[in-house]
Amino acid sequence: MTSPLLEIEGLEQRLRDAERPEEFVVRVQQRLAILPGDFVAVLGPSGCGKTTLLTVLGLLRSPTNPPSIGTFRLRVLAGDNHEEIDLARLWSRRAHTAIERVRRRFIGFALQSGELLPALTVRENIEAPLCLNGWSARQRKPRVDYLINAFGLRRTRPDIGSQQSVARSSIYDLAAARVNKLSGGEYQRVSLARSIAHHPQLIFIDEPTAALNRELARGALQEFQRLLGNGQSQAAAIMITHDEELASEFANVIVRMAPLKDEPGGSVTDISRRQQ
Amino acid sequence: MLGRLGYYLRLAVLDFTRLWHTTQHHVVIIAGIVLPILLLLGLKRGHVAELRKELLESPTGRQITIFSGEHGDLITTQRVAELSQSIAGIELVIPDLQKLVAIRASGPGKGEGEGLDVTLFSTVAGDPILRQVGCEIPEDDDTGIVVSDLVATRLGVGVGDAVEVIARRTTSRGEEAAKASMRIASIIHQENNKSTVGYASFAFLDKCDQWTRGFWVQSLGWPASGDPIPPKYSAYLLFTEAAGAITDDDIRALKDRGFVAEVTNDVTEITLAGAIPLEKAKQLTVWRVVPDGSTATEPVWVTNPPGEFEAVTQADDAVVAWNPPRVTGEPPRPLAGISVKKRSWLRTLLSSRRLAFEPTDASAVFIASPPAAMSEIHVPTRDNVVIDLSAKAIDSADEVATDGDRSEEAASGASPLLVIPAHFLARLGSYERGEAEYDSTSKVFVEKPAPSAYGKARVFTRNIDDVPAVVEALTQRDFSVMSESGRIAEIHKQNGSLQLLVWVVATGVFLFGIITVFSVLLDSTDRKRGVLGILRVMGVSRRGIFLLVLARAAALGILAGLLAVVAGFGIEQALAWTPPPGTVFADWKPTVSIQVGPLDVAIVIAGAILCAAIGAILPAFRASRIDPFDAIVEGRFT
Repeated sequence: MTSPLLEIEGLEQRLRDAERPEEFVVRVQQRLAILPGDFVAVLGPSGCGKTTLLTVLGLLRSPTNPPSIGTFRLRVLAGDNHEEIDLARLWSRRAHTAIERVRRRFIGFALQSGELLPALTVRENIEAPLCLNGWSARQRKPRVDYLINAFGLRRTRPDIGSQQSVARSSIYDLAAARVNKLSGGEYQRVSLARSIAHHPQLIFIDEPTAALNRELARGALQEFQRLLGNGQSQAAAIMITHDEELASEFANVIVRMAPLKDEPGGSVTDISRRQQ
Repeated sequence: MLGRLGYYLRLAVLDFTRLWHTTQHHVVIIAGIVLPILLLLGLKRGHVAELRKELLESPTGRQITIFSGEHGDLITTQRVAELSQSIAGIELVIPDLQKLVAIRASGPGKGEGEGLDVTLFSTVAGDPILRQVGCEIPEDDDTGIVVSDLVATRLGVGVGDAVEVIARRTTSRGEEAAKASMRIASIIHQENNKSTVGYASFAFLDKCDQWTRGFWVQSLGWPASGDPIPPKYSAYLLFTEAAGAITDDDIRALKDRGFVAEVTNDVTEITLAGAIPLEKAKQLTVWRVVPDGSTATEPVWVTNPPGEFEAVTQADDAVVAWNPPRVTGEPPRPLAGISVKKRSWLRTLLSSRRLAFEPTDASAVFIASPPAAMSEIHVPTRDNVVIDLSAKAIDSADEVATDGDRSEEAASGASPLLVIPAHFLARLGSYERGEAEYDSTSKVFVEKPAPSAYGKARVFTRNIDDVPAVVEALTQRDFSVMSESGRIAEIHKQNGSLQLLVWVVATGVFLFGIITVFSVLLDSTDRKRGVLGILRVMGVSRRGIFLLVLARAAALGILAGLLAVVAGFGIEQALAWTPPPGTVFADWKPTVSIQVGPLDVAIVIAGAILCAAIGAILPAFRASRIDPFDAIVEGRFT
């Protein structure tokens, strides 16, 4: 039986908002186990804590009380060996350097609005995680070229912003362009490409349709899923969305969240796995 | 780790350069903060440079006049060398010496008349005072002189012409003059103060001075004043005809005067080296009188005239000043110094009356006992110098020596006696002992020149900043000092005050700058929360974010510093520009001297970097602590 890549159980995340008198609570009572190759969709209405759950699972925020969490561990493939990381323990020890290393090495993020670095070009954005993980220039180039081609970022197009430049040069190399020159779809694809550039084993996708229309998001996700290996990969993707259709199309695991009845917050109410 | 560090720096630079539109005003702000510091530094440097300029251009700025104070050493040539070596900062020491000489043009038809009286001042090659007026005397050449244009005009000479410099002195013989051939090395142009002055090398004037003081100047062939040194004797011989002529009272009286008298039987002494036949000498009682404490090996030299001793004793004695005879010539002959009073009974005992000189006889012609044909006596002395004495044979009528004596001399092969005045032999001894010089021009033994010592000298430092330290060192050596150190100290004081002012202002501006940079960067960093959040999400550590913000601030500081320097140089040029005469539109403009030095540039660039870096510390720290997800979420809307 395949060991879970990410396993969490018994999480109670409490957020204090300065503007509200009450705390916001997110609970994961039942065991959530994400296997390598899983494409998980976290569904739920707005305000039920989907993004909060993402910040905890993506190691962006410390759990409220790490020792009280039943299970919170990551089992990753480091080289030829599996490395089991007790995330609850790391947070308990406030081992920020180790957590940052795990996040840098094993996790990728494709956030709502892409969140690319504005000073860098498309190519530089995609190779950013590679640089941070110590890839040499020789190692980086084929990987970035591959992703640029795979996400259709090698294409050239007329520079819409300048009629003069169109006259001068009718092509525009997207890879060498600064990200402020990109369209919404291109921006999202660069974000997805960057999220998987360094071969992370856990990829978080936050609301892919928030900044794009469904069709553009679908196209990008199809590309993304193909690159992940259509379930054959050692990596797993967790997508936060409230788009049922998108979730049913791409995800094999559906995690449903619902608001709490007696206090602000939400909890995981159902985890269903679809046999592929 | 290093790769990641390099990547953070790269990100900082890319962020700084590619998002220039968001950072350019930060650069301008920091440049505006450090620019006043640069201008202040330049203004201070320019002001001090203006103050120094006058002193720098004037050699008197670095001239120190020293006087031998009450306890200060006299300024001798040796002292000059010692001062130059022991006090750092001294470039030149010129003992101050001035001589009134007459200068006469050389050449056909010119070398007539008394010459023009000119006051010559001492100088040396490289004298800044002369250099200032474009004049110089050549190094290692004492024959060059510099004269004023008035002197040149009156003498009708130009540069390179030969002249005669005539020195004068007054001696017991009257006024004497000595000439030296010189040449005009330079001519000083005088604007208003027309005077007959000039400069000659210190070495030449020093020789003039020695000659004026009566010394012999061998190198110029200038004779001594003619006053010989006092003769020094080792003993006096008291000749008495009666055995008890010298009483105990006489001996006591001599002792009271510091002399010891004892009877001598030394044949050389009692016969005066053979001038008195031995048979006659044996009939006399001879006392040797020497200063108390004198020994044969270490005699105490005395200069008393023999007559003093005759006056002390009651006896009818004849006193002869005595130095042991020496042997000279080839074949060797005894050379005795014998001077006997003309009317002394002792003369009747001499082999020849003319074998002895009179004590007052200063003749340079000397009598030689046979051979009569001898006309010169060569006396080898120290340093292989040979003193030639004219010899004069004794008249045959004066010969009193017996034939037997002559036969004995001939049979024994003994050389005949050579006699010179006692004072001459005494002075010859002084010369050989290095206590006197032999002036071959005047044929007299003269006092050895004492090292010249002067009461005043001009000292030049290497630059005006050395003056205070050199003045201090000279004062510690008890010299009285006159210099521009007061003005230089004032410049240093002003420099110090301005420096303090600059630092006070700079510190204020710097602190203000830090606060401004802090505010600017805090705002800038807040605006970049989104980007920083993305980096944190991608796993950049807190330390990495801190470093990134700091590196970006440093890049900002470097560029701001460079911008300030460029602007500073521009302002420097604009303020230093003097409108041409007649430029109406700019006649209001003052000329301000601002001198921005390399050190100022370094200080300002370093200050800008430091200002930016210190101002960035807190924003960088805050940036490193941001919640990555919150930062992204907030960043979406900014």
